Amino acid sequence: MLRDLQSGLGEVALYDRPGAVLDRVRAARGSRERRLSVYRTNTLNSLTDVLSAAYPVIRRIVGDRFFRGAARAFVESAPPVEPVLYRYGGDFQAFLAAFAPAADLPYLPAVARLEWARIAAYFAADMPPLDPQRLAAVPPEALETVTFAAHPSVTVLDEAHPVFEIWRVNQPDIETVPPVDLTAPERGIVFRRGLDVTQRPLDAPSAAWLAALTAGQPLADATAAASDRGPLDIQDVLRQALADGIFTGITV
Amino acid sequence: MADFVSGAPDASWLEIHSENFFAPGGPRVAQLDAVRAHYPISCHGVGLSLGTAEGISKAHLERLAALVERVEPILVSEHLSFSVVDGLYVNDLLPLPYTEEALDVVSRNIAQTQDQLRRPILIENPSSYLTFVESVMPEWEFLDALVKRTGCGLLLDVNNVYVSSINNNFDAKTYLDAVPANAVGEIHLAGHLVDGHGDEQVLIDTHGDTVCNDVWNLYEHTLKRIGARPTLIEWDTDIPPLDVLLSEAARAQEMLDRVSPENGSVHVA
Repeated sequence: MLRDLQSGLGEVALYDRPGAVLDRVRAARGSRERRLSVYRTNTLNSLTDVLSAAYPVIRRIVGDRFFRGAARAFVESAPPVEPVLYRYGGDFQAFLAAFAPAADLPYLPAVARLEWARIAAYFAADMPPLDPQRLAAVPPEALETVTFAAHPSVTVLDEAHPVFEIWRVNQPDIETVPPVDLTAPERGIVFRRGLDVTQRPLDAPSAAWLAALTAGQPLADATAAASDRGPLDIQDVLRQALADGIFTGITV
Repeated sequence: MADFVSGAPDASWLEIHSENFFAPGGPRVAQLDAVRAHYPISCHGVGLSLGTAEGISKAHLERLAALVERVEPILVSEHLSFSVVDGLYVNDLLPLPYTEEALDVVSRNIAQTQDQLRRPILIENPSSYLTFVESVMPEWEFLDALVKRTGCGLLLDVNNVYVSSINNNFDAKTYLDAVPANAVGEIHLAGHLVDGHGDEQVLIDTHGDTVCNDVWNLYEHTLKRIGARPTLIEWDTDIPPLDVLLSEAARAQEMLDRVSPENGSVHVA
């Protein structure tokens, strides 16, 4: 009895379908539909606000009206499954890739992946970085098979569009967006150093190397895979990664 | 929140939305740790969904328990409503019918929460925009029954009582006079939005405006009846300049001082 009433009210709030509960509610005056619509409006507005806070660059690119329409369609296709909203909205990039009205903007999913990587980095657990001495102490014959543990804030991106450039020119302080070559691929890493979310563009082999290492592949395998993408300066990339706290530990 | 990290602003306590601090790390959690060093904290949850018929989420309750252990709050509160249904989270406080079945469900869920947290919690009355045909008692009787069955306290939101009384056509003073006085551990005040025209006009709880005169009068009426209580002025959207917030807080403090100079303190959030 209570259970089916609640299912019906959930249908109202998430999908704007009042049919199942209309006869069970009362309005002191005016229509019952109007009263139910308050819950629908509150729900949709609050979840749109959550997405809007997570994806400010997407919102700026498509405009408020388009964003609200996309958010509504996303919420109806994938409502939150838990009351922990900092984790809600990670699937927005997959939704945008299949969202027909956004077909003219093929770079949107890539930009959404960057914005979500920033959210994930912001809320990730705190972990001390790997002490470089630990790596220096690995015997040379064991280096090939050493594996790394990535800091929980890390995402490596390998995109067919210039996501970091698009992000940069769509910050609130930039009034007129300069022309951007939307077909130029960009790769990079997003992480949190201390309390600051940071993003660092990388060349293709460096990104491939860090992607393999942060995914837990042994050093030799990661290096082989990355070298296929072009010349790789391991010393340079490793020094920066250690300074950025990209790794938290190694297994020898 | 950032303003309070230094401990400089004069506030006797602060209230946080529990779910905003469930992340395992990062700047927000660091700020909370800093603020905690200067102010007592009240944890006000919106996601436990005490009204859900199939029971509350054990995972959510464990996350709340971990936060409570970390923050050691002076108060822990939740709402008389539900927001989880069929495995989905509706990010709003949906209303309950006031039936014996709902009373059993909410009592069971409150008892489970209090057992896990090893402390009583406060239950806040919701703003409501409709009533249910199947309800068999008024909201104040339902709250009174929850207090008797579970030993929980109440977070009395005077604005919510007012909003519901206009929307659902009952006398707010009847409600406020019937609430079990000893159970009230905290009071909320807030502004609301008057939305629509004629018969379709509805008051909507937005936490985005000054407290209206009718609500101030009901607050004073309540204080005279139950005595001073810690009072929070909620302001979550369209946040105004600080002097507007402070003048709202000063008005509440004046009323508290008239009732009892020692007890009760006001804070704006």
